[in-house]
Amino acid sequence: MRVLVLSFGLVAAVTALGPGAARADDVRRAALVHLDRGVAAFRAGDFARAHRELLAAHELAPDKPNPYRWLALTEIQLGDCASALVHIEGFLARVRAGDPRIAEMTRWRELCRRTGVLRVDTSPGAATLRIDGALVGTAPYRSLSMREGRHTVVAEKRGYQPVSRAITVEAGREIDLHLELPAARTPITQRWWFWPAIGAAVVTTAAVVYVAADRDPAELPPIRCDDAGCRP
Amino acid sequence: MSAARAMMVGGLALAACGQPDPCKDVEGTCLAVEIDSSAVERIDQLELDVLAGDIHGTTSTQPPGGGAVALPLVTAIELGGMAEGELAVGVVAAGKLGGTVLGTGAASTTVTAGSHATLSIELAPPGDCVAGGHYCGGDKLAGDASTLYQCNGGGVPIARGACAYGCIVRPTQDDVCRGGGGTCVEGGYYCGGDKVDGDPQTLYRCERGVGVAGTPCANGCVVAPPREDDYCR
Repeated sequence: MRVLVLSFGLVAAVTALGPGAARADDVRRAALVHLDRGVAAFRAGDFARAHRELLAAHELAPDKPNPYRWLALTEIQLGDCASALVHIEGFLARVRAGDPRIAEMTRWRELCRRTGVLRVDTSPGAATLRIDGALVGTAPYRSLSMREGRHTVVAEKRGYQPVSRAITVEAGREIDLHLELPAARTPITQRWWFWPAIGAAVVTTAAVVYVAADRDPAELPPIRCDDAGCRP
Repeated sequence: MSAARAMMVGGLALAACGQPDPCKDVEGTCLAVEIDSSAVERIDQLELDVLAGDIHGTTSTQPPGGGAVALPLVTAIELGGMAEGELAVGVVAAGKLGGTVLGTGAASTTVTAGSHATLSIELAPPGDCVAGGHYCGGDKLAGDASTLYQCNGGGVPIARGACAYGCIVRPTQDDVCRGGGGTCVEGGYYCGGDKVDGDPQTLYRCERGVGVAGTPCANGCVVAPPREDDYCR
């Protein structure tokens, strides 16, 4: 009977421990799967997908440092230095001293600390944006990792005059930039009134020429002639 | 078309065009002259040589107040002292600007004493006549082909006289009026064009049927009745 009770107890204990351990393994494996997918997407340049997978890995294994690192790297690529800084700190808090990846993360942290946030929208919208000459996309645009310093933002849109604006980004600060593009000056020959005006000018000139040509001839004083000759 | 009909048509044309009639205030004989040109745009002086029977003169008219005027233009030639009947009138015109002849032209018509007539003259670049030389109209100068003119280098050709029997163009000598109306009497005196070839303002002596020893007449040469010598006025 004692043996029977012990057996039941062992079975019960195993039964009680077994599902928890198995679930932890499943979670760890799932986290690893997401992490692997995230890294693969990162390396493929699909940073949005990488970020989703890495967030999933991070939620399943929040104490693991590696998802923090990959999240930070992905967010840097996505231009979100503010989030990257949080994840860099999370990574550094979870790795042992001497970890070879610390140097990489601290370098990124320094870089991200020297950035600000820039938001650009335009009126009309969807203007093409260039920052310091490089095409960065269309408005609305947001950069969470604009390097501090002076930059030139240019907005262009067909049918409008381009607008250029110089900005100074300060680390940790945010800039909201709104650019209004004035309608492009239509070349004079393409303005609605140009050809009618030309036509009117031609008609007027023709009328003036016609009137001038048709005007009464000048009249000179008469001369008088008789047997003594002619004289005015 | 007769000269009278030409005058009528010209007058009607002038009236139809709505042009001013420079003769409208003239009660006597008057010739309305219209001057136009495709070669000359503006002139500041119009010089006219008028030959109408015994009436001959050269004068000029200018815009009132000076300055240049654009062509076309009109002016009037008032003919005084005309006897009754019709009279052939030849007019040579020269348009000047700044003293330079830009164009010359000529026309002729017939006018009845006491009436008005119209004459249109087209100015063309002056010919290359030699100043002082005598030319039939149309031969290197503007004018009536049956009138002999003297080339006036700086102005309108001056009529020497109408050639009743035609004008002879002579390439190497002065042109002359053709002599007509019979043969000259040996030793008699004749104006050029009257029985001897020559200048109507020069008196010639008939020798072997031709006029020789011509003497220019300062005031014109008068053709005398038959059997009388012609003479200088």
